[in-house]
Formats: sequence, C-alpha cells, structure tokens
Amino acid sequence: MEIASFKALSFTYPDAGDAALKDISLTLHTGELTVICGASGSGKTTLLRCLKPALAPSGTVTGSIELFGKAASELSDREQAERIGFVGQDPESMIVTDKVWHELAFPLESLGAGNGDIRRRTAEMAEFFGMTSSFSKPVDELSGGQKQLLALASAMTVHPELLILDEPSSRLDPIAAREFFDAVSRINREFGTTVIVSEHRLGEVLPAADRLICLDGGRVVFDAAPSELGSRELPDGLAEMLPTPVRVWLSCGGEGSCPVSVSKGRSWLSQKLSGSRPEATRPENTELSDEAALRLRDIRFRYEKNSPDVLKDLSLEVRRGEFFGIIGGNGSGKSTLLSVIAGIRRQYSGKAELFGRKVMLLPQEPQSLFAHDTVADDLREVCSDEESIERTASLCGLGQLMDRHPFDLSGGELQRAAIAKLLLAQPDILLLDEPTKGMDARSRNRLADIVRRLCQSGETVIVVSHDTDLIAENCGRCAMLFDGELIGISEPCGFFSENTFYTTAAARMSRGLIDGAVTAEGIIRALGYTPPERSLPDELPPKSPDKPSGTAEKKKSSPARFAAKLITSFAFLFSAAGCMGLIPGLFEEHYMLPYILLAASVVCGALAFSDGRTVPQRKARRKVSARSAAASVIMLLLIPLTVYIGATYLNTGKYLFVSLLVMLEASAPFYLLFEGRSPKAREIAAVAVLTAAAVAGRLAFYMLPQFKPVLAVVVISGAAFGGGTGFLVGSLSMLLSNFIFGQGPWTPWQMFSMGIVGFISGLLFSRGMLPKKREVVALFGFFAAVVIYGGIVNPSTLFIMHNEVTVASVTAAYAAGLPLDIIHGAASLGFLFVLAPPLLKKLDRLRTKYEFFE
Amino acid sequence: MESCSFAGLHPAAIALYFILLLCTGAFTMHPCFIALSLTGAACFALRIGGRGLVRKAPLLLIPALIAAGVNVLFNHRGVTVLGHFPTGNPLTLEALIYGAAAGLSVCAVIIWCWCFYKVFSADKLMSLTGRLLPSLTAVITLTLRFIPLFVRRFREINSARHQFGRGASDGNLLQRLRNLAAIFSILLTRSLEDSVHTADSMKSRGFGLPHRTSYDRFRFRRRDAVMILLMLCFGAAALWGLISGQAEFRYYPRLYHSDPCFGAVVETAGFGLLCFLPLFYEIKEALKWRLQASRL
Repeated sequence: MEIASFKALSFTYPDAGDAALKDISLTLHTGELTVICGASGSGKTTLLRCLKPALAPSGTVTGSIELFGKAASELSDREQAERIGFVGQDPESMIVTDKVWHELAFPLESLGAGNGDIRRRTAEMAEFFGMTSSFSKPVDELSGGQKQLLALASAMTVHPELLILDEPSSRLDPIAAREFFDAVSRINREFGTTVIVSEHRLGEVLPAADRLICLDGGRVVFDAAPSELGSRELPDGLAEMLPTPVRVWLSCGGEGSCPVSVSKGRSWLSQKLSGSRPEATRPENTELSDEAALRLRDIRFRYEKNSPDVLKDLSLEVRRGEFFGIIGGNGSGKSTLLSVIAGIRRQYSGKAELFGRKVMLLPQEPQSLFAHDTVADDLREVCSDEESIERTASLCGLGQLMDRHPFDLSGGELQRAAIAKLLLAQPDILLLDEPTKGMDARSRNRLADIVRRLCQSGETVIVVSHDTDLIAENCGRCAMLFDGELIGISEPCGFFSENTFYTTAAARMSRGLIDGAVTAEGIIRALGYTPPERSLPDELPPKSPDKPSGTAEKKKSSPARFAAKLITSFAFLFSAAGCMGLIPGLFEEHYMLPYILLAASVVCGALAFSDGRTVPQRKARRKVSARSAAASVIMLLLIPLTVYIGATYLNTGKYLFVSLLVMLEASAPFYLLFEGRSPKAREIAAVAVLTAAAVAGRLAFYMLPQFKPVLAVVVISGAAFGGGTGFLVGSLSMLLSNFIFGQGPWTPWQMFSMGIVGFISGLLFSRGMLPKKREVVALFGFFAAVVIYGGIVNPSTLFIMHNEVTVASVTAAYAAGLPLDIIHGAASLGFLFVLAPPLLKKLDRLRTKYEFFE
Repeated sequence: MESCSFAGLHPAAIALYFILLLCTGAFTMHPCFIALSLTGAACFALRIGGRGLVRKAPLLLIPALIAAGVNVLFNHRGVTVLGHFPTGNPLTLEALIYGAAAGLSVCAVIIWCWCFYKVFSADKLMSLTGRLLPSLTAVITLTLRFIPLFVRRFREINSARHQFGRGASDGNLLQRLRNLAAIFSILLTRSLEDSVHTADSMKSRGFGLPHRTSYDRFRFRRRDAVMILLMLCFGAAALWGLISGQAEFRYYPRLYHSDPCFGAVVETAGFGLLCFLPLFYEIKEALKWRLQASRL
C-alpha cells in the first residue's frame, strides 16, 4: 500500500537561485524501511521535511506530494501529528520537557488524550524502550544516546504510521548509534511502522534497510534495494558512504550478492580467498621523532574527594609530529584525559610534562568557539596577521566560508573553521575530541587529510574518538582507554588486528582470513586490487614564524576622552562610597549630595565610554483575544479596590496584604495576555531560552552576590522582543531561580519588580522611545536596578517584618539596601555596556531569520 | 522520590495549606500565634530536613535582629520609657517587645518558606497551572529543561575560550566582565538558534492544536480530601477568629490582651492545629509503616 508519494516534485527556497529538490518522483510503501543518503546539502533534510506538513519549509513547490492517499495540504494538523512521527538530529534541542515521563506524555497532551490514556501509553513505551528505571528522572541525567532514544520513544507514543528520522545518529557515538538503529528496526519489524531515515553512517542501518535512496544536488541518483547495489551503476560519491564490506566487495569487482553486513562480508571473503591466507602489507612505519611533545607519568585524577579515580596511574609519551589516537567506551574518561592534558583540570598525583608552548583543545561542540558574525571576524579575534589567517583558512578549506555566519555552516565546515581558529593560536599540541561526529564521509576524509598534513609539518595531534576507522586509517599509534589506563599502545595495524570486538569493521571482516588488514584499503590491497584514490588538499600547511599572537588592534582613543573616562570612573567610586557611608564626615551637611553626584557620574561615564552606535528598530504587531483583554482590564480595576479594602479594614499586615494583592493583580494581565494570544511554539521556545539564560547566569555567577547578569538579560529581552516578553522573562526567571535556590519570602516582590524592569525596557526601547544606543541601554540598566528593582524590593522587608511603615523606617530600608543596589546597578551597567550592542544586533538577526514573534 | 510524606499529597492540597497559612499567620502579631507558627515551622523543618539544619539556625538571627532593631530605632510609641537614644528619642519597653515579636515572626516566615520550597517542587506548580495556563506552563517546562543544559554549555564555552585567554576568570576586572559578556552572548545566540529546532519538535508533536490536556501524575486520593477538609476546618476557625477579633493583642500604648473567651480558644486551637498539621501527618505516616513492619 502506498503511504506517501512524490510526483515530479521540485522545491526552491526563497532567495535561492538553485532548486533544493529537482523533479523527484518517489513512492513509499507501508512497512518499508527506507534509507536516504547523500552528501551534506544534497537535499535530504528538505525532502524529509516535505513529508511532514507541520515542518514543511516555505518556498516554491511544483509537482505534488500525497500522504495517506490525499494531498499533503489537505492533511489536518491533528492528523499529521497523529500519523507522522519526526525525530531530528540534535537530541538536546528535540527534548522539550525536564522529566522523562513528561517528554513521553508531551505528544499525547497535545492531542488531548485523557489522564488514564496517557498513563498507559507512556508506561508501555517506557517498557518497550527499556526506560523504566529512568522514567522519573530529569532529562539532563541521560546520556546523548538515551536522549535520542527518548525522542524516538516520545514520537512513538501516538503510534504513528510513518516515522521520519533526519540524521538521527549524527550526534551519537557509534555504540549509541547502533542501539538507536536496533530500536528503529525493532519498531519497523514489530509494529510494521513505515520508516524513512536519512543517514551518513550506513554501516549500522543498511543491514536492516529495504531500500536505499541516494540524493545528489537535489536529484535522486540511486534508488534500489541494498542487495542490488552490485547490479547497478553507482553514482559518484555513493561508494565512499557505503559500509566497509560493501566497499571492499565493490572494489573487487562486485560479483555475487552484495554483502551488506560484516557477517555476510566474511562469508563472501572466505569464498573469494578459497583457503589461501594472504597477509596485508603493513604501512611503512613513519619514523617517530626523538623529541617528546608530551609525557604523562602515573597520572591520577578524580572529580571529587570521595569518588573513584577516573584516571589511574596513566602514563603516555607522545612524540613531536605524531598523530595519536585514543579509543574507549562511553564514560571511560577520554574527555577527562584530554582536559587534564589541556590543563583545564589538574591531576592530584603524577607528572604531566609538556614540551611546547601551548595545547589547544577542540571541544565536542565546536560552536562554543565562535563569538562573531562571520568566520573571518572570529579568526581575527585570535590573530591579527591577515597573511597567516589566509594561509590557515586555505589549509582548512574555508575559501568561500569566510564571510558566512558560523552558525550557518554545516557540521563538517564548522569543525574545519574551529580547527583553523585553534591553529591560529599556534598550538604545539592539538587535541581533538570526537572530531568526526555527524560528518559525511567526504568531510570526514577531508578533515583527516588536513590533520595528517599538520602532523607532517611538525604539529602533534591527539585525537579521541569512537570512530575506529578514522584512527585505523590515519593515526601513527593508538591505544584504548579502559579503567583509567591506556591499554595496548601500538600502531593501528597491530592494535586493531589483536582486538576482537572493539575494532574496525574491516578487521572484524578479515579476522583469521587476512593477516593484519584493519582498513578497507588494506583488504582490497591484500586481495590484489587497487582501492579508489582519495583527493588531498593542495597546499602544504605553513608553520608560521614565531610571532606572538596578539589580540586585534584596538582603536586609539583621544586623550580628552581618556581623561573623561578616568574622571567619571573616579567620581562614580567616590560618590558610591559616599552613599554607602564609607567616607565619614564628608557629606554630613548635604546628605543628598552623594546621590546626585552618583547619578551624574553614571550618566557622564556612560557617555564618555560610548561609541555612539545604534541598533535599528523593528516593530511587532500582535493580536489579543477579547476575553483575555477583558480579564486584564478587570484585574487592573481591582487594584484601587484592593488598596481601599486594605487601608480601611486591615490593621496588622495591611501593607503586606495590599502589596501582595496589587502585585498579583498587576502581573495577571501580562500572563493572561500571553495566554490569550496562544503564542506559537517558536515564541514559547524563545521566551524559555531567555528565561533559562537569565537563571543559568544567576547559577553560574553564584560566587559574587549581586553580581549577576539576570537584570541585563531581562533588559535586553524587553528591548529586543517587547514589553510583554520582557515582563515574562523577568518574573519567570525570578520565580524559577527561587525554586532552585529556595530563597526566602521575597519572591513575589522580586518577581514583580524584575518583570516591571523588563516591561519598561520594552516600552522604552522596542517602541523606539529611546534609541538602542549602548550608553542609553546601560544607563537604563543602572537606574532600573537601583530605582525600580531596589525601589520595590527594599520596602518589602518592612512589610514582611511587620515593622511600622513611616517615612523614617522606609528611608532606613532604602539606605540599608542601597549599597547592594549600587553594586547590582553597576554590574548591570557593565554587563549591558558590553553585552547590549552585539546581542541586540544578533537577536534582531535571529528575529528576522526565524520570525520568532509572528 | 518525594522528600517527605507531606510532599506526597496532591499539589492542590499542599498549595491550599500554604495559602491558608499565609492568610492567617501573616496578619497577626499575637505572641501566641507567633509562638505556635514558629514551633510548628521549626518542628516540621527539622522533621524533613534532619538535624543538620540546626547548624544553619544561627543564620536566622540576622533578619530577626534587623527586624527587632529597625522597630526599636524607628518606633517610639509606648509608655514605658527605658532610656533615651543619643538623638533624644525614647527607647520604650513596648517597642522592644514588639521588635522581639517581629523578629520571631520573621524567623517563622523564613522557615515556612524553606519548607514550602522543599515540599512544593516546580513539577507541582506545573500540575496546577497546566490546565489553566497551558502556554505559560509550556514556557516553565522548557525553561526547567534548559537551565541545566545552559549551565553545562556555559562551562563548555568558558573552557573553550579560556584557551585563548578569554575565559571568565582571565585578565583584570574589566576584561573579565567583557569575557563574561562574550560567553553569555555566545550562549544566548546559540541557544536561540537551537530553540528553532525545539519549536519544530513541539510542532511536529502537535503542540498548538486546540484542546490540549495536561497530564497530571498526581492523583487525588481519599487522604488528600481528608487533609483538605481538616485544613479548611482549622483555617476557617482561625480566620473567623481573626476577622471577628476574638483574641486581641495590642502593643501600644501599653501591652494589652483581651480576656480569654471561648472564641479565642477556638481561634488559637484552629491556628495551632493548622501549624502542626504537616508534622502530625508525617508522624501518622511513619507510625503506619512502623506498625506494618512490626506485624511482619
């Protein structure tokens, strides 16, 4: 039965010259497991998204898409949510709730299922995917592989007929990927769910697949069952994506049926050899330099005092110019070892000697390295010498990518740009943590070649990876990290042919048949054929002359401006000290003077430090339902009534009563208006990101009291996305951080005052009443912290304590709170001063790119 | 696992309990009420937090002393003058006693707040708001999911940038601030960029369809109903007494308390039982288990 079909489908993205999909005609049948492969940018993701109307990209479509026998556009939202499941690449951003059970329940909640129904289905899915032990756990405690399984399980709770998986294993290590595809093929076999999956790493999924489709440049260039691979001509590029047994079989002529798995590959190989036992030619040992680059002796490391050792008496010597590989299971301490070598963590015993100036570590998530709007700007952050930037960029193949935004690059491109950035800091040892995760075969080989070139030029590289093929094909020596020790340090040929399980597919395939063959090339050569050539980058890596890598040149400032900065800074410190009463006897007669001086110095200071740039304005329009508007008006009308009742009838605690209720009544409209708008998923996600960033900021800076970026984030949220959003971010971030820190009875006042800060910021900046200039935003931050936040929170203490509210006691409360408020204000001023202009610009870009609030 | 049996009650019951406590306890300065509230709070906190809490207790002195001090310094009502401040204002016995009462009541409020956060997790908040405010609840859920992720990302970015000498702890104060801001800006842009995929993931699972339900893991059981009934009874007794002024206590101009009458007894008993309700419930549940264990 047909489940989906494309008829002459072409698709063009807006503003793109070339069509992303060209003339595609395909039919998917019930119960099939289809694999789509193709290099990055070949249109896989676009094709898959066309199958899920809720996620269909916007652009020009010609031809037709039919789902379940009707046109895709006729499928209702509910139907497509029920019948089509979708799992994307990144488990971190796929998961939307904080608990495992809630994630499983999420799609059922959307469809309006009842409590009992949800209870049963989530239980069932948890059982099927083996998640019963983690059912009540927070999502954050799961590993990457478990998170991806959770995303799959959640998609399956509604029992979809069609399951779409978009490169689901690209962020997983090979072992987790295997588990994931085991679950997928079980779903396909046991439920008869139709599955379509796009994938780079075909080794795991191909044995279970019924059909293989290859895309190139938006066209289908191959479409057949995997077993028919030999009988058809293969398009360019497909061969290198195929699993090792198929590659070997194809290079050796491709007779008989295609061996899609290692076991089939073995039986094909033993037939082919018919008794003879050739020996693979070992690659000539590249001579190791005598010079050591790194020497570890008896390193011991543990995370906490009472936890077990992660590294136990680990010893290792790496020579200069060596490409050293380390493999090991999840949680074996590979990344810990790298961070000890990089000096991020310190061993508590043993000696680590580095014979060089610098070690650089490429983190698993290379996005962490990029801070600017273009790749070129990011490279300039490290090195000011244009010539060496150019050389490094061309070495890493960044030619056309230099002007792109780092986040618009594909995984492989980003990885190369990250390496370029690290190289510019001129390290002697380069550490790579899982560098090939999620790359297609072509980018992976390209990366490996770049690294090999680097090693030839004297750079020392240590790579930690699950990718056994990468290590077998490229490394000089390798070892396995197990139980805190490095085991079996030797060259890959010996290492992998001695291992039985933790080894390459080629070694498993040829074990006992060919001696010492650990790569596909090795087997092909041993059989007397020539393997296909790999292209190498042209240029040799330049080892730039020893030049101190400095930061980019700073603009010269005029002496007058410098003097102004100096004077205002001094005036600020002086008046702040005066306000806090640190200078006895100076302001006795004019006690208001230091406050006036403080305000003046802050204003002048911000102007003196300013660069006068403004971020352009943009306005948003929103619709509000009549019901929630009415509710808001009623709430606002209740405020005077509350004040009246409190003042007339209450004696003890009237201030408490009035302030609590008024805050509640004034906050309610914001919440109700947000609710009444039925905000779209993107807006909800954006508000959550801003709120979480504010709270995470508070968590990350817990060392310093009052020195936290919450207020800065709230001001920026308001300025970028409007007053309503500002209020929500402000009040929710205070609420949730109080839930985390469990702080005292001040929460309602903190929530309200922070919300108001966000709201006013939105009023002033997003409507264009004030320009989004650096100094204006920063100044607003200072006064918001001191006047609005301090103004509301300080007197609350009096209300809670049932103290007499008189002019004197209120003044005392403000005076007591002022020093902390000034620190808070100064910190916010500083944060906003540095943060506001670049961030507002970036938020504007994101806002137009993704239409967060449309 | 819940931190105590009281936390195992239905969220609505727990929320109602603390609301009643706020409505009654926050609006009286009767020393009897303050004593009941403070002992009730302290016993419950010790029960769920263990003896380790005793070491933290001295921290309570700070707000208590502030509350007492502010009152003595700025309040000069009362007739029994004990002495004079250098400014010439009188120090009165009544103000001193009121200050002490205010200090103790602040301690009670802080301990109750501690108990509240221990017992009422964000999960429970969402179970209550899920039906009424689905969009807002979705924001809270997502935020709770993002917070640990962002803290982890923050550390990742920090250590990646530390390699270039641009970590949060490199350089002088100004540079640190600049580095922090850069780390923060990377975190925010990257996370907003990713949030588009999060939104897609929500949409693909039907978020935004009308008639969304909210899955509630907490079931309303008979014992929740019983507890709510008890709370309402005690709370009503205390509120009735408060509003009609059964047990009156005045500090100024001189200490005065109304004569104990039946109404005052009902009011005080209601409030006292309300304060000790969680503790009683804890003990009852523990006894149940012990009884069962002794039968085995």
